[in-house]
Amino acid sequence: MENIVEVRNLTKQFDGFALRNLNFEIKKGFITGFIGPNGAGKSTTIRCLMDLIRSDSGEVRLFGESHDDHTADIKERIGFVYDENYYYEDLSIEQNKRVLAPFYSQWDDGLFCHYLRKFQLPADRRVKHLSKGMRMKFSLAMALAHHPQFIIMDEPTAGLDPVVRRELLDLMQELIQDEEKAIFFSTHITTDLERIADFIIFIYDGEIIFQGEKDEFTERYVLVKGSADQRSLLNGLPVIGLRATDVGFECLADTMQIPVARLQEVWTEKPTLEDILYYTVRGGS
Amino acid sequence: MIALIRKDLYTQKLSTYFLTILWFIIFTNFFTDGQPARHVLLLTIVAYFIAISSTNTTFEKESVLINSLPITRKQFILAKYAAGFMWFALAAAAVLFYIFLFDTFAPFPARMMTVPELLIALGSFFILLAIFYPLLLKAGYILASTLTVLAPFAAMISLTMVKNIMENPRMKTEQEFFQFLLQLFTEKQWSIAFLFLLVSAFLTWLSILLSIRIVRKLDFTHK
Repeated sequence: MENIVEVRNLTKQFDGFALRNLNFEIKKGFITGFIGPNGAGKSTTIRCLMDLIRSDSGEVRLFGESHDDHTADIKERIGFVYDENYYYEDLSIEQNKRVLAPFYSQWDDGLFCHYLRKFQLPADRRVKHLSKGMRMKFSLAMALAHHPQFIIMDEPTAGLDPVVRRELLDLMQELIQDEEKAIFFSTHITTDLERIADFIIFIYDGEIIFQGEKDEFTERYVLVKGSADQRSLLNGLPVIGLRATDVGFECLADTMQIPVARLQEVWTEKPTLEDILYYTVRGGS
Repeated sequence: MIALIRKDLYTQKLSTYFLTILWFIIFTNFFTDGQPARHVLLLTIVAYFIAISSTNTTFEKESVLINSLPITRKQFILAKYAAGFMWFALAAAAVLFYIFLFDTFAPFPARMMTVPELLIALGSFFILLAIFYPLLLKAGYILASTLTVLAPFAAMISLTMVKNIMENPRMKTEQEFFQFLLQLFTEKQWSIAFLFLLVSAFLTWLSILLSIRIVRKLDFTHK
């Protein structure tokens, strides 16, 4: 499997927050979900991929090239969907296109019109008068109209209603069919990832907790449940998160650290991505 | 690069062009008596005002959009300076038309700007830009625009002071000095204009290098 992105030892320090030594790959022909709670470092990492944020150290390579020498070539091949509206709000969709299309040598006006029709976007409407869903669709049309090989989306489904969200996810699956593109999208809506992601990268507090196939991710962890008097069975075990009440407890366990045999006396089940996210953030108090 | 300059032109707000009328009032009271220094100042400030309005308070947000397009950070900076020529040409057309109206129809002697005066205005405009862009990148739009817009006002106040000195019978030595300067400017217009342009080009070149250096390390993190 060919890597479209390779990140090695990426480090970036801000006041009160840091990306620490990130290492991950994004593979061609697949959808990779970037998951993590708010403030975990998803947008910062994405901005490092887009060279909007300069790393303190480490290496970011896209299509085998680095931004230092080939940033224009790299960005020509990327379709970027922003986490909020960055387009010119006082200009219409058509005027925005007229301003921005000349930057891309592969810009396809026909394809752009196709997406406008598909998304039912009025070309003459000003961006500031578009709804959140329409803005996202417009952003997507702009990102896709120059035949990108790599599509990066920063929380594209946040704030969208279920219908638009579902449409967006369907479109992502449609785009990936030719196996020539890769999609990387960040979210904290885990059900979106469960539906379409092939790979997962889980970031928490500026560090990659896990990266790999989605199924491998959910199979690696188990959700442990038991009554209050069974809680002592967990003593000495490095559980990831624990939620205890008067009647029982629930926690997440990493099978790489705790053999399943040690959990036979308690009830275990396969966690959802949301369970993993929740317990990781909650901690093992 | 062309796309970046065209972007600046297309995204310039229409209201900016109307607001430039204010500068005609402030610097000439809508009544030019043909004073070359006023014309030079007017052209400088009009061009500068239009130029910095294209890089307004939304600069940080726009920078995220623009720098995610297939351009380099160096091109991003170079285009900002290169667009200066476009804004100057637009401003020069407006100011020359304004002076032309007085030159043609006013019942008192007025005169068009000379080429050396235009060159001095161009040089002054680029000196302001040379200060503005590094300040913008380091300190933000409000500080950069406020500090630099004060310069033409300071020049205007200096002119008024010189005028007062020339009318004050007790300041003979100073008057002789300013007379000498005036004579020098009149006789050696071209030399002074080229010298001024040379200084302006040098400062602009330094400013471009500084801006590129700043922007290479800059994070575009508007939220």
